[in-house]
Amino acid sequence: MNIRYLASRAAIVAVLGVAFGLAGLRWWWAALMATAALGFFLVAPRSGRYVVETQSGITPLRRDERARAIRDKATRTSFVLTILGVAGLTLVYGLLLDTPVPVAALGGILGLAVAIYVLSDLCQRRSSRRL
Amino acid sequence: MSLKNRLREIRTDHGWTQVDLARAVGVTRQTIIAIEKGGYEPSVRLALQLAETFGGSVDDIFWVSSSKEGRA
Repeated sequence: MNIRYLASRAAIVAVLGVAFGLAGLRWWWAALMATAALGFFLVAPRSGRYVVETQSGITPLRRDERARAIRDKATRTSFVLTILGVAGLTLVYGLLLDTPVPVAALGGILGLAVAIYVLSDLCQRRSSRRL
Repeated sequence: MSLKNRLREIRTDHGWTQVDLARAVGVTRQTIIAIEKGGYEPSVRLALQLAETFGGSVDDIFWVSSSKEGRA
């Protein structure tokens, strides 16, 4: 990690902290989120998930071709399962309950989509099966 | 048919670590591990880079096999 990377990440974390604060989060919650972002920026270059290109200055982290393949497959899996989830919800609420789909349920589906993406990513990284 | 390789053998013959090789061809160590275990089939570009790194050709490292046997 070079000094340009650290300085740029520190600036991003500071901006994030201020943005979280302006968005109405309590100061300790904003500080916690900013600290989590700082932790990610410090761990990411050593995580093995990214290729570190120090000559790229403030944007040194790159996904290699395997990481891109994993990301693409996780995105496809998440998208398909989310669409199926939305279709299932629409059917359940429209046919069985005869009410509109509540917004909270859609929020749950979005949360599920993120969870599926993360799980798919982790499973593919740990699996010895061919991508 | 599956893609086999003897990347680990060639790498160790050259005295390289997985980290050395990953840096040389611009990928992560995890990708080198996955290729050596047969869990990831590299792109043509990466296969060419690997071959060039060791001063050989792609088919010195990779071959297609229809059986579980190793290369003769």
